[in-house]
Amino acid sequence: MIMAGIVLVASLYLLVQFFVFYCRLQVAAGRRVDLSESAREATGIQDQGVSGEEFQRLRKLVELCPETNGDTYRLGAIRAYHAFLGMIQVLFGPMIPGAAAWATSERSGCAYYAAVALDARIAHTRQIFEHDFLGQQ
Amino acid sequence: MLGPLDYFIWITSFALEVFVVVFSISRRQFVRYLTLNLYMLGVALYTVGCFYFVTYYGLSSLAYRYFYYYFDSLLTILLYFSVFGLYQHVFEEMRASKYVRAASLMLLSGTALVSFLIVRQSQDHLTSRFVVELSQNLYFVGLVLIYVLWGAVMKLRETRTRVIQLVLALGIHFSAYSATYALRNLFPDLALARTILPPLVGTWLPLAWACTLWRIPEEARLATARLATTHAR
Repeated sequence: MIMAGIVLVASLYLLVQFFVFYCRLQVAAGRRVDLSESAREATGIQDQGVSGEEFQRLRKLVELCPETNGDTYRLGAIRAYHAFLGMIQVLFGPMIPGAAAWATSERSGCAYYAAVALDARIAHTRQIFEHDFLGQQ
Repeated sequence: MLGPLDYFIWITSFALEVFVVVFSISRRQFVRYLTLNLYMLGVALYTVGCFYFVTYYGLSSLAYRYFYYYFDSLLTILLYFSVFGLYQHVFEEMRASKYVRAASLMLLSGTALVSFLIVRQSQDHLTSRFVVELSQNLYFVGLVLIYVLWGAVMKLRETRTRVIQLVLALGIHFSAYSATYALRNLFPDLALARTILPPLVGTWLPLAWACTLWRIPEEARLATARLATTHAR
């Protein structure tokens, strides 16, 4: 029983750690992508400095476009990560300002990731329109 | 009794497992990620086997239970080979594959010996409780191995995005399974750990690996320092 308890605690701790690293990898990769003009127009984002609070709005915009290259699961992971960071901000923000600053920066990355996903979906939708709709005319 | 959602998860997992193998073959990467592909092939066979046993013997039959737990233990050991395959990728440039192979053989022999001793000592009560404990320990050993590998990835400043993502996905898989089995061990009647979590956790690895192999090109690079610092930008 004691062994199972130790395994449970250690596994949960490492699960959170691996999950955070996995999501940070996605967010870091997203930050390297520049948004297209059409995505900037649609989202109102000028540079990479987007607020983490924008995430929900951007996610709703993403959901309006058809799925691209199976990105739904990664967006789901980023959504969970964004919520996790929000929890960190609320729980540890008042006590550890460094943690709050880190969470704010990461939440901003999550929002930018959603904007990049939106950009990809807009491009994909446009491609479908050009191939399937305009191609038939 | 299995519901439509269970069948959906089952079919999705199987499709993803087959996808990983077929995709690797089509891109001529089957040998490059040999251990990963062999594991996926093994899991796909396991999924088919589970379906066969549930159909012909029933979900609560002893035959299905034995197949489920013992094949799962074998797959965990096969997964160790995948971990060592990733070790070889990470230590590729250091030309340390000889040492990695030796370490993997030692670990495998050790695991086999310890498992044999445990089974011999407990052969009069080889219950499902025993196999849950065995699986919990096997997954935990895998978790320790993958954590050490993750430490090496960070220390050696590995930049290949694909390798980093494969390692992290495996880390999530091992820790989630290890936690699930520990939870089952602590609370044997908890439905969450018995019926809900295992299929969901089982879908994670083929899903993450399929997306990684499909979406991340071999030549993609990302500095791991970006992941280690508290401010990524």
